[in-house]
Amino acid sequence: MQEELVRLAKQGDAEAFDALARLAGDRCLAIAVRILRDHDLAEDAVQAALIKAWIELRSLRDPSRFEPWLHRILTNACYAEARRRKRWSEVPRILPIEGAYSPDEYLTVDERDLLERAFRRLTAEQRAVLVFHHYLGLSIPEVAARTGLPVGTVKSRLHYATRVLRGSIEADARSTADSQELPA
Amino acid sequence: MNERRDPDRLIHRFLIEGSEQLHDQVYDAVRAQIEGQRQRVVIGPWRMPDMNKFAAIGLGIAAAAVVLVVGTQLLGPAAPGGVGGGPSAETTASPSPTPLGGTVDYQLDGAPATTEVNVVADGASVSGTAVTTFAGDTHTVGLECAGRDGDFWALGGTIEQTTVQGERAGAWSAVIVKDASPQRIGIWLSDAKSYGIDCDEWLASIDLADIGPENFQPVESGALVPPSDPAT
Repeated sequence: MQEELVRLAKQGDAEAFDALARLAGDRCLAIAVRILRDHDLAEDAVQAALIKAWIELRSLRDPSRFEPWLHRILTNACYAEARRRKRWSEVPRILPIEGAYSPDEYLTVDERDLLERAFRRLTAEQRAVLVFHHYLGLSIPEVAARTGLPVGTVKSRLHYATRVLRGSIEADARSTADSQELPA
Repeated sequence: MNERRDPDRLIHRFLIEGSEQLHDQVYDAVRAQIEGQRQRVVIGPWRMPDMNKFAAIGLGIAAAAVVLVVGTQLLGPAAPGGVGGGPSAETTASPSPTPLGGTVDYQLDGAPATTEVNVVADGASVSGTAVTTFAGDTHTVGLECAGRDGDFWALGGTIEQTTVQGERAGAWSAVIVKDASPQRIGIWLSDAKSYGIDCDEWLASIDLADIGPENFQPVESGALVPPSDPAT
């Protein structure tokens, strides 16, 4: 179905493209929110990416590659938004999916705040690699293809970003342990 | 925080939890914009401008002669190959403006197309025009910059006037050449200008790596001589 919509949209069918956008929109927003950490910026990035995708659609040779192709445009749109606005004020509206995990798999409020703070210390480019790897579950070569980066760059960004986040978590754990050992 | 929890697992959970729903207003805004926005019409290639492999040689061309050599219609003294002559190029260190240019003929969808380039490079700037005619349309670009990436080179600038449906004056456009045998040409018809981006930066943003040779049209008349690289 998606491939047929792509074919129609490539012929200038705006209605088909609208349907395509609605199929891909939520996932695009989820990616953009995770990269930008700002819901409004993320919506702007998705909107810009969809318009760019319409303009460039004829360059897409393989209709089955629409979503990866769109994600690559989206990633660039996120970078552009990050550079343009340079504001990281809002906590993203990420709502837990009920029933998806057992209760002990949820993050606590403290854990989420800690990770949010650590995540904001990363660049949009580092976040993008984390998001594609963890959220979309892509392998490193797939992330490289999706972001247009060399595999080595993806590896180094992933390593650095993970180290930053892990360091924050471990530092927090140590400070919690220290405070619990203090005499009353 | 509970230190017994695995950091890597927490990071993964942080990144996957939650769901997002794009507002209808965004879809509506996209729909409204694309209704009035034609899809890019491209002769030859195209691709996404997202990587920066197209090193601008711009004005560092240092008097490199950018010559489009045309079998029977040589323009200007820098391409004196004459009628029926082979490829011809000149490199000069002279700072004085060097008129260059030529006309190449090729086929687009089975119909003849022609690109005529008149350009002056003085070692510090590139200026001139590139006029492409095909299928009864004319597309005129005021040339402002040049770039090279391996076998590819290009002359870019601003559309001065165009009759190509959906295209308009004021946007970026470029003549792209791939050195091969026979050499190949592609015309980037238009790309909207972004604030603060000049011609060299726009050209430098072009990634040609994804373009297969099948996306270029073989030149049937004349040979295209690439700009010289000042580093060589």
